[in-house]
Amino acid sequence: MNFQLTSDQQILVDSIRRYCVDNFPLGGNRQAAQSEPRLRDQWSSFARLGATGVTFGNDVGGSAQSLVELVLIMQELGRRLVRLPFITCVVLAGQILDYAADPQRRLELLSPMIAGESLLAAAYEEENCDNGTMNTQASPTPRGYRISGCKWLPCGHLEADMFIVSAYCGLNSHSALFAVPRSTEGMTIKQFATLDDDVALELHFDDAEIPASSMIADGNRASAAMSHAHRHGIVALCAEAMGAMESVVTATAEHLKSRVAYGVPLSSLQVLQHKLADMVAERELSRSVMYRAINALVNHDEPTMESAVATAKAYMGDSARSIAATALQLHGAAGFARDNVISSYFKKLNAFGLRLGTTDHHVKQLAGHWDTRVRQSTLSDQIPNQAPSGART
Amino acid sequence: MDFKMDSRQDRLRAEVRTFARDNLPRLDQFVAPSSASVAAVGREQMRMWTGILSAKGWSVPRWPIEWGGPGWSGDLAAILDDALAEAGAPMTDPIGIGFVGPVLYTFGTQRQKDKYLPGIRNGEVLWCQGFSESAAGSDIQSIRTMAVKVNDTYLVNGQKQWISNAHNANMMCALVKVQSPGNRRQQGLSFLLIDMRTDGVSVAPTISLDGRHWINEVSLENVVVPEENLVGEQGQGWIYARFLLSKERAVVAGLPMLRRMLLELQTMVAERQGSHGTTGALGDPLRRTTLRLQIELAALEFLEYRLMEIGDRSEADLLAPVLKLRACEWRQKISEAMFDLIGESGLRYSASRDVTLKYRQEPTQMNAIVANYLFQRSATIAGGTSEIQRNIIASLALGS
Repeated sequence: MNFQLTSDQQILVDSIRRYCVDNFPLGGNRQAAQSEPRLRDQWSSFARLGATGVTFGNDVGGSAQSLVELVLIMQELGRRLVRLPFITCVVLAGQILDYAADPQRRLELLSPMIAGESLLAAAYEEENCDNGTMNTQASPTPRGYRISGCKWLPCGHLEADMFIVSAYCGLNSHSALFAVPRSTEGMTIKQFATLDDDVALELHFDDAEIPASSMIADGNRASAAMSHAHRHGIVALCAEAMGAMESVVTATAEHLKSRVAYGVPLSSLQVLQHKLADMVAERELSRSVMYRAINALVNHDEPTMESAVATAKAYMGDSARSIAATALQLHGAAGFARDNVISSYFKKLNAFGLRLGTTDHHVKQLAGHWDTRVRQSTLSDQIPNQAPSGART
Repeated sequence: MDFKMDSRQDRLRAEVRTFARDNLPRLDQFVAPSSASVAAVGREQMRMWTGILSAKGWSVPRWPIEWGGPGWSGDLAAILDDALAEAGAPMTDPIGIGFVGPVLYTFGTQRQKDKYLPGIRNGEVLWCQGFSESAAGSDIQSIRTMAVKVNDTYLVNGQKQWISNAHNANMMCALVKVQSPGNRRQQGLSFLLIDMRTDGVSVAPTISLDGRHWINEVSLENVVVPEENLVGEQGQGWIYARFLLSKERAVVAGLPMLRRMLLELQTMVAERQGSHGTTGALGDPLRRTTLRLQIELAALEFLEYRLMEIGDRSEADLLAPVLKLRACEWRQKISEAMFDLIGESGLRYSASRDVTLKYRQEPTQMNAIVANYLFQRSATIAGGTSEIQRNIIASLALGS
């Protein structure tokens, strides 16, 4: 293992950073919704940097790099609070399709996405359904399936051309995945504003009819694809939070140096220095636990992956909140203003703990198998398999 | 950046496990007839085990090949430490192997290297670190122990305080200030190697909060130290001490021990739940605390791994104090959780009863849990207080 960037990785980081600085101003009222043509332009220029294809094979137009490159990209997006539908489109939908779709569908759906010509969104979660059940049903019809239910897309975006939807299917209620175009009759897209000044979606299915050919996968293959994508999505989300943590710690250090109170810079006060030190320590432990999750995804078996990813999300959920809270406190009243960038970072880092499984959810995941681990009396890092939310057979 | 596994790591771990299983029983010849001789048994076990490791080439895993090390990268050394601790092996001398050795092979004379490094490597010579004084801890510059150069010797006078293991040590590395006769002006710190058998060296126990004898007061009264025992240049001792302390921050974190502490706590909590017939709901605050500790330990472990990979690059200057700070706070937190778990039984405590926390043993070790609770208060003080670590981290973050 080696934690230093290669020169190629440094070039990737620099190009993404430059793109973010050029296209996404920091601060101001970020609530203003982006217009669709603008997002489309941004997305295609983003794709031209090669950012959408790093984890996919050359056969679909990707560059066959690794999860590390994906993490580096997400860190840069997080550093500048860039709102691009990267996680839902490239990571969640992309990984589901890459894992489970047959060769033809994989090519049809992934190639235009990687080229920046189409936008996908993953719709496999349901609100407050951490216990792994889902309510959405796909009933077989002579021509295909009839879907009813409601999906929750915490990283979703209004412009998706195609949704990758999960539902229970058939008499034995196994999981299935469908590719559902946005124009489908009986499907309503509802947008809601989020805590972190972004938008997310609900998809309502009211007996929506889809053809049989919509099915991407079902049964174990569908469940495994969702688990696989969910793990990658969590790591990507952690990387985004990591980038935001880095920015917020740097901004806080700068603030302490420049703000003078009672004739001295705040940075000369030990009580504030120590709060900054605690932020740095949390940032470095967060980075460590995220690397640990990447290591598990790259090298280990499924139970180890599940536990390492849950551990990372649980640790970082808490540390993101604590870093955000300290940063806001140390910025004083300035940070409390909506238009101050610290307030945007605060909200981003708090929303992080709510997406793709809450901190509590991931702690419970680990608890569920802790007793087994103790019973096995092993010091190894094996915690038995536990599927993430919404990804059960 | 890549996460490719080094297959040498897995091979080494397997090899260490086999080695420990085959060789640890050799230590059973040292059995403590009474609790009073526990310390002596510990010392002899440490010596013998270091010798066994040395014969295998594993006693100084971070030293260069030239001085008897295996020439490994830091990650392999960490795996050795980890696998040995997991097998229940005794510690080796952290002062000699961890600090004095590297200082000597980096800054010492050829004569010093030849004279001292073999004894450290094979466990024959145990060391203590004579830095702290009653009015100089983390602020090491304010020590008062004085040395006067007399011909080709130093005449040393002073009091060293809180010196771990001085009662077992053969040698001490000491920081002193050298005064020239007729010139009262103090020079900087100097780094001296002092034989503990020298006339004028006396060791008195300082009984600590837990009622046990770990630390000592060492009096130096007209102690004659040959000039050849000066490390590096006179007055430049701070350079060598800082080099040593930077290594100390990573070593004192003691992660293999933390893993054992966590497993012990997990077992205790699971047993208690079993006896109460609960379903292990997360509402139990101790269970929740234990889960938090488990999650944080995972982060600490990978932080240590990063530190090992980084080696001497400048990023280590930041990560070492972060690891020291958080690992020591973690040790304290888990000792508190264990103490809470035994409830009012924590009121019973006697320092003369069994005070050694045995991992994964019978639940009869309440006395040891109290002892550990008391002892772990030192975790955030020894090896640079948590406040000092935060000062260092903040100063790096502020670029000052």
